[in-house]
Amino acid sequence: MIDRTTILDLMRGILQRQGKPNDYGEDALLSDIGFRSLDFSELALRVETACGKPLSFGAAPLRAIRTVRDVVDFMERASGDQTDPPQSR
Amino acid sequence: MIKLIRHNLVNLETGPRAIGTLLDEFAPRVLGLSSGAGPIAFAGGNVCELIQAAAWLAETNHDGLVLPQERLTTEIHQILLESGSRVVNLTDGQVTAPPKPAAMQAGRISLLTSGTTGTPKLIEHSWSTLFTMAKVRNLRPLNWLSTYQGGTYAWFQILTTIFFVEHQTLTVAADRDPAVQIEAALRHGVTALSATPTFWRFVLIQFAPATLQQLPLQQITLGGERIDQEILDRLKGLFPEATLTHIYASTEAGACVIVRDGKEGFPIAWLHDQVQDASERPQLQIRDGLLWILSPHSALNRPGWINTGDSVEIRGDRVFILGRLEQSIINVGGMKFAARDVEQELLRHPSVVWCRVSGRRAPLVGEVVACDAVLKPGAPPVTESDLMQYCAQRIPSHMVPRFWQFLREIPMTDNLKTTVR
Repeated sequence: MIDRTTILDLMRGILQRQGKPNDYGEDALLSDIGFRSLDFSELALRVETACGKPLSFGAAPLRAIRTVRDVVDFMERASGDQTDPPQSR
Repeated sequence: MIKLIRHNLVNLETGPRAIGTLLDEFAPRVLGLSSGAGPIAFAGGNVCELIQAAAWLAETNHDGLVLPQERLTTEIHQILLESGSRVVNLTDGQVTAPPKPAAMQAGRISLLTSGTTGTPKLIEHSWSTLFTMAKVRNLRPLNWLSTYQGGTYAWFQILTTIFFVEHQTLTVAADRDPAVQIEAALRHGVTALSATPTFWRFVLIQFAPATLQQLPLQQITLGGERIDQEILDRLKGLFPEATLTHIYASTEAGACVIVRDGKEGFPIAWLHDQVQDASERPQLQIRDGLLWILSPHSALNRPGWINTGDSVEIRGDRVFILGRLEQSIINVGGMKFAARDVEQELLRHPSVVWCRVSGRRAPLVGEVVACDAVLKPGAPPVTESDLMQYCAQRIPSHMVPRFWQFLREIPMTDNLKTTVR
């Protein structure tokens, strides 16, 4: 599994490289910080590379993603053991 | 000459507008242009301006072409001028005259191929060859969403339906992002949606089935890439009442295979169709494993049998179109483009001496763009962030490379060619 700090760093890097602001909290809405579907795909690929295995996606949890925290939670779970229940923070 | 229906509507972000109104608004921008000789290439601008330009060409029967901003590269600008067209930049209003104006050919509409298999070529159509819905009688009133890039053959298929068939409406989204398109479709009650399978795969992940089923779809048209049974079945399951059509078309041959039975491929019997008059319907043949077409919808400068270059395979009583075997096309969320278009843009950067752009498999969108680059020795140092922002100002966001590797030297094979992509 990949840790939250790494996921947040990857996410900030994606926005920073595009010249977008990257000072936001985990409650920030993705639409407010300009984190779009292509950015999400890039993050997923970077997480895959970091954890060395393909991620498994379920459509329903994806649709529920609205905030930075949702993204990090999602990536954390997706990069972990798929049979594990969602982790509490 | 086919008559433009001025009262058909276009749903824009700012509200619905009649085609006639859009034309009236466009007229002052083209004052004086129609009196000049030769074809006009309208390039740049936004989606609305491209529709206005196309409508103006249709109403005046003027010889011309429309092209979106992202395709107006230096190379294409040169191709247009060398073809004898005046280039009208809809973004800044600048008009560039060609060195040798071509003779005007009334009613000719030129399309530029993507250039994915070589230098982009001008393919000459007329409103008649583009208007493949002409033979459809009593088409029900539909509100169409076109997801295709402006100026392409597929885009003209939708546009000619709106222009020339009564009671048809076009809905235009603010962005080509599939999610933005679907939101616009939901907002405007779109009833007919034409898109690629990849578009739908993207959308099926992004939206709940119950949300998508709020679309009152009566017509779903698939095209632009290989259509497989899985996507046909999913769409039929989601929209059981809609007519599901898949189309095989190319800019040169036009729309040639139109299948409505919900099955992948087309019936083998169509190959043996002994139609003598090509003005009736397209004839299909397989030669050396490739699909050849003789079509009434083919381009004016592509008469006779056309080798589509696409491989086909016969299984049972169906013919399956497999597409080109060699690929240098990148497909990001259903938006396809040539790697070369990104490379050409990057090579104009003063610090880039060589680059190679490719698609990298990525979750959800299929591929994202990756770039290997060699920087010019002695040039000002640049970061990947600098190059991304440079690209973002010149090409659509889905084409901007996201994964970068800076190489110390240009990779070459023994025969001094760049290594295979």
